[in-house]
Amino acid sequence: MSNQTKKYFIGGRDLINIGIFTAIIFIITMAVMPLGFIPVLMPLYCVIIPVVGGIPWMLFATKVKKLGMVFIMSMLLGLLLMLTGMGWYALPVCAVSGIITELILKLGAYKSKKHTVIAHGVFCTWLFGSYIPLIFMADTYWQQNADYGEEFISSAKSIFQIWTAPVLIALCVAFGILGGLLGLKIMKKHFAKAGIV
Amino acid sequence: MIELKNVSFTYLSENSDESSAELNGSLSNIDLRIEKGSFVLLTGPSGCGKSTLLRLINGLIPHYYSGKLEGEVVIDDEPVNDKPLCKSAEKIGTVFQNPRSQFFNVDTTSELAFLSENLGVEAEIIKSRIEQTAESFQIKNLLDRSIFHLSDGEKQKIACASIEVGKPEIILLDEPSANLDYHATMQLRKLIAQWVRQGRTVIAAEHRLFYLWDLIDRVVLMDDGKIIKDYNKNELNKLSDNDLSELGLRSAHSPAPTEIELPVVTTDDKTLTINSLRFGYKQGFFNRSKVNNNIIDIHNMELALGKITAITAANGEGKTTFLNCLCGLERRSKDDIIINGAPFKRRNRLNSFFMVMQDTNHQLFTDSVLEEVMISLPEPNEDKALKILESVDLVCYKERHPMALSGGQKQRLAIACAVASERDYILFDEPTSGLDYGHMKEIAALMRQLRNLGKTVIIVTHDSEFIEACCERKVNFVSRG
Amino acid sequence: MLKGDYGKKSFINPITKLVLLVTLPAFLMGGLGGTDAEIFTLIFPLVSLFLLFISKNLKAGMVGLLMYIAVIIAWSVLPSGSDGIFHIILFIVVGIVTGLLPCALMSVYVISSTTASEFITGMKKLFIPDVITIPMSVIFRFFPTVKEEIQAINKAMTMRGIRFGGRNAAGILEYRLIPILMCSLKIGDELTAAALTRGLDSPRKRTNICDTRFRFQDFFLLALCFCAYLVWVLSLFGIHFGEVVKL
Repeated sequence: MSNQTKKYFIGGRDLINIGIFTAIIFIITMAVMPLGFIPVLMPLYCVIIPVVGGIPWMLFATKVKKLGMVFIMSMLLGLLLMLTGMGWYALPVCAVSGIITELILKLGAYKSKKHTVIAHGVFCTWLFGSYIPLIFMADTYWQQNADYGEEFISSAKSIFQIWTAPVLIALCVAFGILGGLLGLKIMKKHFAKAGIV
Repeated sequence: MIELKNVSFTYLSENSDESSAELNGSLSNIDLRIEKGSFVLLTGPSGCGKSTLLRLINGLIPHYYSGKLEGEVVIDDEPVNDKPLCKSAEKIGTVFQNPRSQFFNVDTTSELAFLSENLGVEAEIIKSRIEQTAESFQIKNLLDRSIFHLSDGEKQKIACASIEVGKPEIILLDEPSANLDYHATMQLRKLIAQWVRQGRTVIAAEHRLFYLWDLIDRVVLMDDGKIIKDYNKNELNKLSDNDLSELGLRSAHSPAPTEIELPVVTTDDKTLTINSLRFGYKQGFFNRSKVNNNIIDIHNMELALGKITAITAANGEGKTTFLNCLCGLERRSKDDIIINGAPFKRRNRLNSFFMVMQDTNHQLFTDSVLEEVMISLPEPNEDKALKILESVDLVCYKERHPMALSGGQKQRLAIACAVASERDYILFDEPTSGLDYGHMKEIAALMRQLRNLGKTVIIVTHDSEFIEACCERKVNFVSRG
Repeated sequence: MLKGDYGKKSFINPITKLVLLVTLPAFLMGGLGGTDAEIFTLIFPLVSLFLLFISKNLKAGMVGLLMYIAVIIAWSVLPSGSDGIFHIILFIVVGIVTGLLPCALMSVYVISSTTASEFITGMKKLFIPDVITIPMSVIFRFFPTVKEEIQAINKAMTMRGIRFGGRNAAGILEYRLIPILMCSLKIGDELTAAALTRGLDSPRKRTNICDTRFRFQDFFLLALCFCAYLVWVLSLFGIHFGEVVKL
């Protein structure tokens, strides 16, 4: 493979980088997951993971110079969510967020810091995939148990309503951007200083 | 035949993941010819360019490490510079220094198959080659196992086997024994000897000479990117250990660490007595296997206070765990340790022991050398910190990021932190792994400095020269007994 | 997969595991097939419990079983149709236990009983491309490594007497995450160099030495899943098995 084509096609080292950073981001996710046992705290996923995950992600972004790497990462995260029992609903979410993130990065020519930070915000919507069963599938669950009384069902529905979905997505993006900024700061302080970036 | 014709190379930091310290190792005007079937040793102080030379041969330069390259590298009349890495992989196998970071797969058999799978070899052929290699390398007992359950020595064996499956003509070894103890190093030697007997071309970059000395045909001595001297077999036989140290090299004949004669304790010594120390790992939630790693069960060990004690072992396991227990880091350890007639409880030990770990990267956190020493002081005090940095010769690096230092410098920084902590007991886990002769002597001098400050220095090491350079007492460690 | 138990063959094929992993959430959490598929909402949790027990993962199996029993008891003891915050919470918990839990247990089974290589092979047989399977290999290979790094870094911090972040509130991030990232980068670099010298970037089609076979239990479980999907599809066309199979 000539050096020219190597610039455009994803090679072995890119795949390894994707694997490493996906592993790190997923480990951060797993570390925060136990919070989910208390339903009220579940939205915190959209706060903590984007912020902390921003640091490795921005580092990863310095190695992303080709189309497709971020999309693969997004799909892998979706796959990992599936493996940990969240179902396959995350996959379409990850596909969409992955594609939009790719577009933003491409617009920034893989160099613009602003674009990268915003891209991370969008990327973090992959987390939303883990909420889907609880928000949307709840409907079908109630359908199976229609004999529990109208009042009951309506008040249960009011907690996990459809309107919570955009709120969660907004949280992911907002804190994702914060995480991106944090990532930039840490990169400058440590990684650039150490000569690693 | 391998030829380097007037090769010069400088690393450029763009696209490279290496820290700036490792960007040393550039080459200037190298002319070298290596005959087929010979065993060449490349050696010289750290940063002399031996790894760079290997990378030019296996193609990592220019395909992975970028930089300015001049001159030609030719293997069997084919220029290497433009050849893709996978083509080079068909003929050349490389074994790297760190057993933990060179394997791609999680289980050993997949790792052995990896090379051939990548090259598109048929499954049946791969399987029979694995059988053959397992037979000739005697690693049948290592097949189908999780790499994470192997010792470092076993990992390096797998690394060697994984390139052997491809039956490479040229074998490159980049400090393969740096992280191995004596026993594992001798096992590695056996594999290398086999390759030599089979007539492969072997090129090894190494500091540790003793385990290869009688196998090699030629030594290429490098310094600062140039070839200083090229010794053939006759000239090698005439070199004494003294000659070698004058050249800044390790000795060619080293006894096994366990054979070095040093007392455990003398009658004048005050001691720390370990009546008993027991520790074993618990099983995890996902773990169904009954494999127990690293059980420590020790009785009646004495360590001299205020002296430099070496802890050696005939073979691998348990030493690091032992240090962790001694240091008070393992909560589940059951111990009965006496100091000055009183029990030395785990909590007290945690505040009295400072451990310098094998991989210093695990214990450097801040963004400047000075800050790293400051957080180690009981009370932050810049003057004190600077004084300590002076004593380890790192003052001019005080604003540098710790991760940007070289291996030897990181060791010295860790020692500075140990001194700053003002603790009386300092433990070292293989402080001289991968260090060349000069740096090893520096560390030995620092050990003596620590001892002169009244500290008790305990060093787990397999480096015989180092033991002879500074250790005063020695304990042969057995994990159960 | 994290600490594979090698030499022992899995009870079921990795492809079957992947199919189950997709099917269970679809029916248990997604309510595919509605009331017609109700019988499957009882069968599938039993399948996951069974697999756990048969793979000798007793801890997880017992936890799952106990949670089921607790929920069934709680649900039958409390009067239905009433409102109140406690009831709603219980409802959510029931939803989690009967929906999320069996899927999570299924994952525990898959993770604990499959070696990473088996898993990757399964994915390849399902025609999932190299750009997914190779990073996946790296992820599995990296989990234990990161765990080791984290443990080592924690030890170092404890030894130096730096609890959490020490003097700095943001220290948790700085003193823990940064060293992990640095070490991971270094390992990644060495890993890449080693893999490249072993032909990772080869344009040739990769071959594979793992073989997977299908046995009775695989056919049975796959048939079970197939029936579930069948019921769902038929219900879309208005054919209901509800009257026949309803409990």
